[in-house]
Amino acid sequence: MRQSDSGQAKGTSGSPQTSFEQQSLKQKAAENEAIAKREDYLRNELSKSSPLKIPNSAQITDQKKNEYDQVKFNWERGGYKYQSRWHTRTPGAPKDQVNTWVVEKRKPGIGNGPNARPAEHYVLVGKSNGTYKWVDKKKWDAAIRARKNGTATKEQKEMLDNGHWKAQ
Amino acid sequence: MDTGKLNDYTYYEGYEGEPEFILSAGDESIHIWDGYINDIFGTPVMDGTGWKGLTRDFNEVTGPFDADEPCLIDVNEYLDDAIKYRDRMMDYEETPNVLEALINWLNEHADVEVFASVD
Repeated sequence: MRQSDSGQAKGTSGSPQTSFEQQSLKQKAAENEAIAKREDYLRNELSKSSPLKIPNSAQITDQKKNEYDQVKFNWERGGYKYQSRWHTRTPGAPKDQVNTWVVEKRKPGIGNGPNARPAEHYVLVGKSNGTYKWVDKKKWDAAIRARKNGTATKEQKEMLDNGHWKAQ
Repeated sequence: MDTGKLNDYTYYEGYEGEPEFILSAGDESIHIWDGYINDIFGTPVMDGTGWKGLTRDFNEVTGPFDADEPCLIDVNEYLDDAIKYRDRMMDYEETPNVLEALINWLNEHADVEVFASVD
């Protein structure tokens, strides 16, 4: 490894201190390699299964949540802030639940001045022939809450199924 | 209302897998489903005088709503802003309780560093 080679070149090999330093450098190098591999996998493999194309410039947040994993890809385009969020099966979900994507886009609101406007916030629930179907986040939230409370309608369940895109 | 919980998930339980808004101070935190945040702060006043606190960050997609890492917030600004929603109509019957829990948590942590994030 580059790091440990560099340690030996200083002519201090053999001492316990050097051995410890070399071990630390090796460990650090291994960690960096693992991080680079993980990022490469997320950016070049996992991202490909997103229902909305994720640009290479997207910011990636890789998270270990409470009993499930989550990866968020964030990017901006055309005045919107996009987020494509992948997560594994969540606690309490049906056994057959698979990894899913949920895609959101937001247009920031403006609170000041004569051009004040509310924010826009949507969730992707369908696409065909390159046309995307988005629903208002409030409508989506109402369905999420209804499902949690066991009161979701057929229409709400369908919308939630359509908005939770099956992933790898 | 002091829930007595270091990490209060009362208004996130059952919403695992959905985004959560988190306020944290030291080893204490409160976790709220983002749908409740949307219900409270998602219909701000549109008089052109500008927004503050959580209303600004949520609607302008700034601060914790546009960051990978937790953001240090102005607790008193967040608190003053949240209090203004006490008399507003909300879509969900439990949302006023969420708002009160948020206000109480901010009140209890008004003198310490508080970070906000969306996970």
